[in-house]
Amino acid sequence: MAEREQDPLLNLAALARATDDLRPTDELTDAVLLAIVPPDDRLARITKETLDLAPSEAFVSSVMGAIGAASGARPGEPAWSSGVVRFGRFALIGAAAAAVLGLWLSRTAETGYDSVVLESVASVEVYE
Amino acid sequence: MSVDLRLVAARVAGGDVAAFRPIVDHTRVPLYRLAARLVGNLADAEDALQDAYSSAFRALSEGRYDGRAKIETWLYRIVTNACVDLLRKRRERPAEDTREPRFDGLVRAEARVALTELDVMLKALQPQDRAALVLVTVEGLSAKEAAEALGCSEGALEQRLVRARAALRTKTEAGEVSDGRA
Repeated sequence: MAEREQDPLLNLAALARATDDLRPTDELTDAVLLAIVPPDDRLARITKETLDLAPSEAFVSSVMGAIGAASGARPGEPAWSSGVVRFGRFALIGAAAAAVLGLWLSRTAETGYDSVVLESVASVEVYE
Repeated sequence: MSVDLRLVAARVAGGDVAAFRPIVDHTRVPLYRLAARLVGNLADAEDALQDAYSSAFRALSEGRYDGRAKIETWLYRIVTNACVDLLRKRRERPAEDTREPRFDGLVRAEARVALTELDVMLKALQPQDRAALVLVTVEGLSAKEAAEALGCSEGALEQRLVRARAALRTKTEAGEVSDGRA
C-alpha cells in the first residue's frame, strides 16, 4: 500500500484495473439517440403516438354531474310537464276568474229579469 | 349524425341543463387530447377539462357566448386557458404526490409514455411558450388559429414559438437527454 502511494504509476495501474469493467446500461444508447434527434422530430413522433387519446364514457357523466351540482339542477331529461306546470297556474286562475264572472253575470241578469217581470205583472193587475 | 352545437348552446342558455350533454359528448375526444398534450399528464388534463367545461356551462347559462365563433373553437380556447392556468399553478406549487387519472380506460400504454416524454421535454418552458409550441407543432394549428386560442396577436405567438424552440435546442445541446422513461 505504502509502496503504491509512493509510485504514481503503480497507483494508476491499480485504478485502471478497478475501472476496467465499467459498462453503461442500454438506456445510454436510447438517451444518445434521443439527444441527436431534432426536437421537432421528437414532437412529430409524440404527436402520432398521442393521436387516439380519448376519455372513457364515464367522463361525460362526471362533467354533467359536476355541472348539475353547481347549478342546483338535476342533469336529466326535463319532465314532459315542465312547460305545462309553468303556465298551468295562470290557466287555472284565468279559468276560475272566468267562472266567477260568468256566475255574477248570470245572477245579475236573472235578478234584473225577475224584477222586470214582477213589475209587468203588477202593472197588469193594477190595470185590471 | 351531425349536431348543430349552436342550437344546442341556445337551449343551454335558455336554462336546459341536460342540453349541455351533447356538447360534452361531441367535443370530449379532441379536447381531452388537447388538454393531455398541453399539460403532459392525464390526471391534470382531466382536471383542466372538467374546469373548462364548468366555465363554458356558466358562460352559456349567463349568456356570455356571443355565437360569433363555432362552439368547438370557443371551447378550444377555454380549454387552452384552463391548461395554461394549471401549468402556471404547477410551476408555482409543484405537486408532491402523483395523482391517478380516472377516465383513462381507453388510453394505450404507448400514448402514456409519449405524454411523459413530452412533459419532460417541455418542463422548463414558460406556460405560454409551451402552449404555443404544442398548439402549432403538436396540434397542427395555423399561427392565426393558435393566436386566437391563446388570445394573443400572431406576432406575440411567433415570439413565444421562437423562445420555446430556442429553449428546447439549448436543453438538447446541454445534454439533458432524459426522455422520462426511467
